[in-house]
Amino acid sequence: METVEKHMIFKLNDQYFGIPVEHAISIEKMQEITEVPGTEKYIRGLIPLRGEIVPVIDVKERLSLRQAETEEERILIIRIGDMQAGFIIDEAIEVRDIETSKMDTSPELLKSLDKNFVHGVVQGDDHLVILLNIAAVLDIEEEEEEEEAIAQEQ
Amino acid sequence: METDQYVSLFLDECRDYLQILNDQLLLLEQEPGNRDIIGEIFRAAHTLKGMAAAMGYEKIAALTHSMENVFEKIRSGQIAVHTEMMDTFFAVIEHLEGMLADIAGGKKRQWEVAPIQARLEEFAGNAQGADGSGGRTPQGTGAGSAAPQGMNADSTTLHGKGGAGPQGPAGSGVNLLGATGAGENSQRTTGVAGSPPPGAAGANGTNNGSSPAGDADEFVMRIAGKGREMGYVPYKITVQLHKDCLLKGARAYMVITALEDCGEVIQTSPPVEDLEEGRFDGEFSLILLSRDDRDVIQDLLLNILEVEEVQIEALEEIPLSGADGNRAESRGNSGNWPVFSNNNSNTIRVQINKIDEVLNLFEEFVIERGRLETIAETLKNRRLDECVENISRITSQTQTVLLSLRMVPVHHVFSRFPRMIRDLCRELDKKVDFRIYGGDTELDRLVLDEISDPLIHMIRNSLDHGIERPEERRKKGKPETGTVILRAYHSGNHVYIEIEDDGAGLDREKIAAKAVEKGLLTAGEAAALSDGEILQYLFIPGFSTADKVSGVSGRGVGLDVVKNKIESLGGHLFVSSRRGEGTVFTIQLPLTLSIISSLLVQVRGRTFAIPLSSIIRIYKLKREEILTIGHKRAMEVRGKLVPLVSLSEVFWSAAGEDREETAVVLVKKGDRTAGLVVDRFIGQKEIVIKSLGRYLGEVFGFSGATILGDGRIALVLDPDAFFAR
Repeated sequence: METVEKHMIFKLNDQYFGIPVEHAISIEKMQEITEVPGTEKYIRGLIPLRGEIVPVIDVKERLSLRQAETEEERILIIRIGDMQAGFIIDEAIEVRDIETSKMDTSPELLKSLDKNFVHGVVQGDDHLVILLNIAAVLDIEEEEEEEEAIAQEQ
Repeated sequence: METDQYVSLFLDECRDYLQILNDQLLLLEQEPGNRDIIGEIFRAAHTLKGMAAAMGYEKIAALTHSMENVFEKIRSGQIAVHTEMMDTFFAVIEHLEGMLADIAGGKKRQWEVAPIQARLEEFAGNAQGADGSGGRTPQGTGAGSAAPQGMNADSTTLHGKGGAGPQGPAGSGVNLLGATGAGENSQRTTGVAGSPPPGAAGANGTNNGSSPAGDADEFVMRIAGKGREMGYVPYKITVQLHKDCLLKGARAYMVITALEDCGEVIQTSPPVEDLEEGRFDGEFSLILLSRDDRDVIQDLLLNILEVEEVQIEALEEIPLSGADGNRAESRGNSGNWPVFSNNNSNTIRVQINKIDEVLNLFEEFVIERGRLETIAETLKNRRLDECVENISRITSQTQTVLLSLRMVPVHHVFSRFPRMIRDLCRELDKKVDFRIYGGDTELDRLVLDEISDPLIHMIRNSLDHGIERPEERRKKGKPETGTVILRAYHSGNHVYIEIEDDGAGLDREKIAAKAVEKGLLTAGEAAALSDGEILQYLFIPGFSTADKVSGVSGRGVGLDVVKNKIESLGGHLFVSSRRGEGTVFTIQLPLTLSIISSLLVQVRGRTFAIPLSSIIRIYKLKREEILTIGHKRAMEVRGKLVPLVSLSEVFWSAAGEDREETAVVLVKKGDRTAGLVVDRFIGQKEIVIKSLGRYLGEVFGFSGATILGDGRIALVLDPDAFFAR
């Protein structure tokens, strides 16, 4: 069965990543991030967003990717359940249809990544797209994501 | 969507009526023969039945119907109240509460109502659960209030505009007369929806003894009175239709609709559904509240086809205060159980999330105001400054008003307790006189919701561990009946709730022994501590002084949980006790949660906010004023050593800037103090506290964050975190 889902595609270093578009809320310019002492290193801190306070995650740090200098980082605001967070990304590419049924979950392709953070990999035109497991990146219970998926189907 | 709204309205009103049932049943237990109480219960059950039937909740309708039947018999003196009956009534209420909770939670559980319903019908003497309306026997004995002059006893009242039938809960939404609250509105449904059509109109004062009808009239007169206060004139209008009129129902409908354009029809005779279906003789009368002149109304009605004759008379003022007052009095005096008046006049029901929405928007506004202030400071334009100053003043006034919207009287929660006490007393075989004071003290709705469970727990504690058994009390020379007082009052920026009992008091020695046994203290240390300090051990997790664990109050999960809950609301819990004389628990709660005054400080270039409520004062200490004890630092405040805590060290494990003068914020937690060392004071600021969000959850040292005027975020310090446990 062919399943096509819209995904938000973005880059970390020179790799392409995707998350389901319904989780992507907006893309914000890099701004001052207020550090919160005593939290995990991959939690960069807080930013104000339309009157709310949103935690910002350094995804590269979280995925143990190398921290290359980037000209213009962005903050991709995501929502999962009733939780909002910002992911620091290098570049937002586009929203694209991804055939999740063709997703390859074999770990060989993902040797450099902790596969817990990844649902699988899909072959794009000239590059691979790594589909991120947002719940794992945020270190929240998997169920919440599933519950939400069920809620969305209904 | 719309049905959802009705459901929530239905639930709200049902809860109110259940509360009335609850309160009145408790009263009835004290005075089984009190007819006012019986009437009140009958009406509440009747109203509940009507509302449930209209919404299609058949089981609720069936149960309340059976209950109504029993009270019908009680009221007419055919049966008397007895204990088993009371227990069944309370069981019914529990059932109803459960069913309502299921409706609210969207659950579909199968409630088995047949057995309990059968028991009710047994009391009523109706083996097959026959329809109760047949049993309505007129009783001339003056239980019902006499019908006011000129009013028809057998009439019903109209809900909003062309609204649902008198049993529909929908009507309370649209009501031209804002003065009548939703609660009263549905009380009107206690009119005689099912009574036979009237004999002769205007039979003065011949009340058939069915007190709901009397009540409906009383209600009509109350509305009329209220309308008069608001500049409306109550008119009694009699309309005669043409004798050959075929569409009587339609004409009556047109008359009512026309009248509703110029006021509010508050009563018709015969009842409106009879009118609309044409079940009348060509003449009918109604009561209208209007600001229009009599002639205007007359012209309006005569323009309607087939209206033959219209008589309009302004209703004389009929004094009702007597009847009203009597009732209130008889309720107020009956026993020690507190009664809260159900007076909802001049109120509207608003969904709490709408208020929250306004508050959220307002919070954004406060943030923008902060920005504006910052900009004005740099521009130094006098006219701009003036404008900003005005905005500041208006916002703080608006804030006061907005926050007051969320305030609700504590009796919303307190009123649940009398029944709980009753049940507990039976379970524990104790006698308790429970008193509530200050039920009208207001508290933020959110705080009140949260405080409910801790209160339940503490009251249970008082009954279980505080109050002694009657025989024991007698031996001690105390009255057999113990007293538990629940008191709320408002002082400064706080609301206090106290739970006081005249029980055994806390046993210092027992607590100390337990603390020693648990290895928390040595015997020597215990002896050196003050009573107050020993009592603090009650709040340590797993500490329970009850010799035996009972089913009523906890198994050691108690007071520490209560204390945590209260502190998470920004409150404090205190206890004081005298051996043999009783115990007082005092809960101190902040009036409001989200907007607070704070001191902004700087540490390592970052801005932090410290709530003013926990600051005693600030100091700039010279080097020689800082004492070093081992590797710890301290300062002296009025002869006492106060430990210094460097925020830079706590958060970054790095020494702070070394300066000539060290900035210190002296903060308190209960009766302890500590000095927080910061780099610099910035100034005082009103801030809107936002939580750090579910993702970060609780972070040590912070209670939230705020957005400052310049758009940056400052973390809000939780001073309590810096006190060693």
